[in-house]
Amino acid sequence: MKAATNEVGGQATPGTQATPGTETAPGTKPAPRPREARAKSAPASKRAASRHWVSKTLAGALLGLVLALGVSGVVAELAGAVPLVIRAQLVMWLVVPVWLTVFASVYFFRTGARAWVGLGAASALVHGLFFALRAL
Amino acid sequence: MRAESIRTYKVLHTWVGIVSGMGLFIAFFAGALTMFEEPITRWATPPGSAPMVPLAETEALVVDTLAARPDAARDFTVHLEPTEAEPGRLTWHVRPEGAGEHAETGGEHYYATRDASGALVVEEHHPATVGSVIDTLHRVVGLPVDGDPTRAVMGILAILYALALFSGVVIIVPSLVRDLFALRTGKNLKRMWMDAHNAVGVLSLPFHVVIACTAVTFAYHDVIYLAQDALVHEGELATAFRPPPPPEGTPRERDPAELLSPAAIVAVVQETAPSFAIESLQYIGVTGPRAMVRVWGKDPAAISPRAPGGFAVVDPYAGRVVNTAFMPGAQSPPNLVVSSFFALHMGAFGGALIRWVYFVLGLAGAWLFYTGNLLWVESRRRKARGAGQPDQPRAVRAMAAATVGVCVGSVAGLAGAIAASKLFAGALDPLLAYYGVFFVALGWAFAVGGARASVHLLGLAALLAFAIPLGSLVGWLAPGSGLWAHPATWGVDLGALALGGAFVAMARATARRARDGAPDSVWALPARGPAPAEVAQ
Repeated sequence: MKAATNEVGGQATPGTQATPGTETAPGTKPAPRPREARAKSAPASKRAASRHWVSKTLAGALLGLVLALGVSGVVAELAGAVPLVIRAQLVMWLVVPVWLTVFASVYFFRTGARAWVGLGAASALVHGLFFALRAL
Repeated sequence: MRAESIRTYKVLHTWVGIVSGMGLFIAFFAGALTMFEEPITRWATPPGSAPMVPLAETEALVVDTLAARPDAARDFTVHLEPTEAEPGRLTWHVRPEGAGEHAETGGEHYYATRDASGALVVEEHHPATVGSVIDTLHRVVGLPVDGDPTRAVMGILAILYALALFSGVVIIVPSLVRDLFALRTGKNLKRMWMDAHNAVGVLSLPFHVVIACTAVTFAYHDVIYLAQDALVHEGELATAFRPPPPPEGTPRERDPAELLSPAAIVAVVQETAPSFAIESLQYIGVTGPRAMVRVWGKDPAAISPRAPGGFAVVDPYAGRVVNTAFMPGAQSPPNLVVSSFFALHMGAFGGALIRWVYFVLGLAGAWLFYTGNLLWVESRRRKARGAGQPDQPRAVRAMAAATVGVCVGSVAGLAGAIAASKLFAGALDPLLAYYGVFFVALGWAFAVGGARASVHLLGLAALLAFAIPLGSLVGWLAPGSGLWAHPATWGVDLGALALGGAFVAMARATARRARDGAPDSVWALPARGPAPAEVAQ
């Protein structure tokens, strides 16, 4: 999960500067740099670490739950042979571990916007799969 | 991993930790005690006066009781081997209107027995509440009542706890191999505390992952079911959870005189599961069409579906096992998976050994949150430069006082609640005793500051812990005093004695540090210099 969301974050808008503007020294090119170099630019990324808390947290809490409910739906469809009374309990127990993993991973996204786009896309995908399985 | 991510997660770890740490401390310390809820309840129950009706004569007792009190037919229990906690062979509980599933103490409790002439006697009794008080404080992180709002608060703290775990792992992963077994006990005390915090956190991580996921699920399962019913189950959940209708031809009213004897019901279950140690029979709706008996017991070799064990459902008229979905060792694989979530949270597998392991893990968890707060305080400490001691920042002093007041205060409060449940049985509600001690401790911590209060409150916790075996000792030496000592629950007294001894040792170590430790610390007594303003508020 961790790696997956990280990748989504990396791919959503590749090459966007981690910290838009402000703290970068004038003349520093806001172009993509190698991962290591970017990690070492302390002032810029330190500022980035304190950014987007609200937006990332909301994305993790809300879309993480949407995603987890979608995953539980997919599993419920795949486990259709199990009687509903126990299937319902199994997929209920599935929600929180998925939700919390996604929620906790959301801070790997560089920006809140990327978190919303990445988790939104993942949720759409999972819910699409759920409805496709149900239609089958 | 990007350094930026690690920095983000460091900030996250600090703040979710400091917000949730003290509530979680209470939940974990009380939770560790719940491993011994049953012995504590037995310890706190005064010896019964009524003689126990022999098991062989229970059939007639059931019939007579239901004739005298038809309302008991809804749900009553026959105890096969009653402990100190059960006043009679047959007991029932009339729950207050609209009470939740965890309302074990509210409402009215009755038991049925016979007097010397053989006549039926039905009496109300007041079970010792201290066990369920501890359980409630555990379930809702120190709040007084387990209801929907308090459980939602608990859920939020549990989510913060999950975030703290995850971020803690992210922070330590890059240096995991190097730092895990390092305990750098040198001049740098903060380094040593952090090493210890990391080692305990990583080594007990699987336990914490389980506890966090199950706690959040316990808080929000109703909402999740509701959402899934609409989204996934197409509104069929209510029907699925409803028990199946009684088979055709079942009489609408049953005569309890036709009930099988408890021994016969036990034999039916024992035949299929010889290793299942049966403790009690819970009769539900025995005069109606859905008459059933839950045969409760434990199987140390199997996973228990619930904290008090599990049960087989038996038809008490036909004498056949109807359902083993909640019976240890007889569950279907999907049921076993669901039960294992409960069992893993509650340590309901592997018998006494696992209960002790969970007790230690619970205490270690409480310690983890306490050290987290200590590290927060230590990181914000103002060091002496040159002559004179600096004033520590206000927030640091307040956090030190709050940490000591809440954590040590809750420990003292729990010890006080247990002690009071025997010393002031019936006169003082253990919950009031808990809050009385807790709030006095918290107030004291802010009044005199963390350094002094930590010594005082550890001393108070030790005194209250020693009061637990004191009550039993008095009851043993002087049975006329109104106190009592059950030989079967001496473990509670010994445990309290050991904890009290540990608190004394901690109080002495804390006093030593306050006296001889670094003077430029919030934990140092200001005795060696002109007293700075030390009252945090």
